[in-house]
Amino acid sequence: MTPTATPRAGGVEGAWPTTPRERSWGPLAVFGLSVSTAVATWCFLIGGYVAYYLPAASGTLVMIAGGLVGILLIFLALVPVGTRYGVDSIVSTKPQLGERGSYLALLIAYITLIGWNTVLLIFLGRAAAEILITLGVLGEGARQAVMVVSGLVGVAVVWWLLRGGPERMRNVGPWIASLVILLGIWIFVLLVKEVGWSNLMDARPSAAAPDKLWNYTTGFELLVVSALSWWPYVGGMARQASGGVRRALWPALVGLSLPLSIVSVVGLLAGLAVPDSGGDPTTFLVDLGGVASGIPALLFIVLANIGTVMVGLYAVTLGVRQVPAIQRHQSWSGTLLLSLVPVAAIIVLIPNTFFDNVDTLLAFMGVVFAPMCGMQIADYYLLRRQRLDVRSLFVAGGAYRFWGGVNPAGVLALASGFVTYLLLLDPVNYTSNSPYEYISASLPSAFVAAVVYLLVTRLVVIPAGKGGYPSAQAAERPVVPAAGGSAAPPA
Amino acid sequence: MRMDVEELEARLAEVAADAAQATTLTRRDYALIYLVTLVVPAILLFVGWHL
Repeated sequence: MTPTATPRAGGVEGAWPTTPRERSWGPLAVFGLSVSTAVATWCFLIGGYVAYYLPAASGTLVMIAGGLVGILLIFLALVPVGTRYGVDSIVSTKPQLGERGSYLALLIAYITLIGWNTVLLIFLGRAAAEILITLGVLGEGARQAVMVVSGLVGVAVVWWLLRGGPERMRNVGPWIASLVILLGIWIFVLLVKEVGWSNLMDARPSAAAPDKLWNYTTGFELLVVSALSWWPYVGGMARQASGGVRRALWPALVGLSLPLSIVSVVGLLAGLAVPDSGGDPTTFLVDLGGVASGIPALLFIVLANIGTVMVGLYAVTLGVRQVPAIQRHQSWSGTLLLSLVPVAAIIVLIPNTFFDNVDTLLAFMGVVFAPMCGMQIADYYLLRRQRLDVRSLFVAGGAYRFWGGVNPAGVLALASGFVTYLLLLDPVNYTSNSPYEYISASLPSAFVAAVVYLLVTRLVVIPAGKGGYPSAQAAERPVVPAAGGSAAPPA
Repeated sequence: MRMDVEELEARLAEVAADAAQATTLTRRDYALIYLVTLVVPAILLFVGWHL
């Protein structure tokens, strides 16, 4: 094991960059964490959505393709910069959005991660309740209460596992990933055995549109968006990877993309076999395969969700610690609790309302992360030539100050990508405008954001000498520790 | 506060020094990445469309 520096409030567990000595995750750990991030209950729901539009064979190929393309955007935007400079997803947006503008990324990531963590823990609670009721430990009348209590127990378990820092996550993640992959295969075998391979292959999508191309593109788009939803997670993993980007390359690419597609295919098959399930195995596996098969499937959901919430909680806590007051006055363990309070509140107060509106959460992520990736890729590769001023990432008043801490190029790029997405596809009810069926929505959204960012930067930002681009001379400023970033105004 | 400044400066210096000599992805790496994440998906989409 690589020696690891003692974590401190402002160190590994804060939002300051990880030093090479602290980056202790080898390729196996990166792969394991990537898999345990990707393999989550939402994969079943994603596959279930695809089952509305595509049959098994073509749907499987489309989903693998969409997952790979989505991961390309995420990888290029986050992994090289994260492994090189030891920064998470939110800090990596400072060169594009500015010191204060990156709070927009923090807000987006916070909402996303809180949302996903809540969904997963409610799902965990539902699965646990189903287990107890199926085994006859409790009656049907206790379902709601058991679900809430189980979700809260999940909150406590995740806090306990992570309270000692990310090392625990590294140790637990690969084990969970291995287990959930095996259980995912089990669910697949059960579906084939009980429903029949030919029946699965012949099953028709339940809500396909008349236009075959539209169905095809929508299946592709669903997987691209799903892969993009890893944005807040990936930076948190990349900053802990040891040995540079080349060691993390394939573990991250393969670990994030293939498990997503493979487990989503299980959801696709489930959605085709049992259209009313929407891909959710908890609704049919006990009926389909009996208690002996249903209980392991429910355990699959519980374990997979614990692993994913751990990674998500780590990422959101890193983000929250960029707020200077929290960085200075809260311990890592205390910040974890702060990140979990809204999750626990939703689980107690509105679990069913929240869970029934997951599609709104998905919609939110699709329209924000595609342009975010396009903007980051354009900036890091085309404008900055893969060189950042690491000091300006963490010291207020540096090269990424722009105008009042905000880079208008980044804000305009995000807005233009956002509008582009909405013009092509309404992600809430999936109504579209041509040429969506030919070009999808996420990819053009990322492309437009990249082009707008390049144009505004070339025409306005660089001529103004802002942003620390090669032609600009960044002024030296005194050091003002800004809690991992930028909140403090220049001295 | 002073310790924070010193620790941050030391940390930034270490990260910057490492980043300056860090290996980056080669053209071959990028070629393989694009092969796996663009060419393979294109083939899959082509095959899937004709199923």
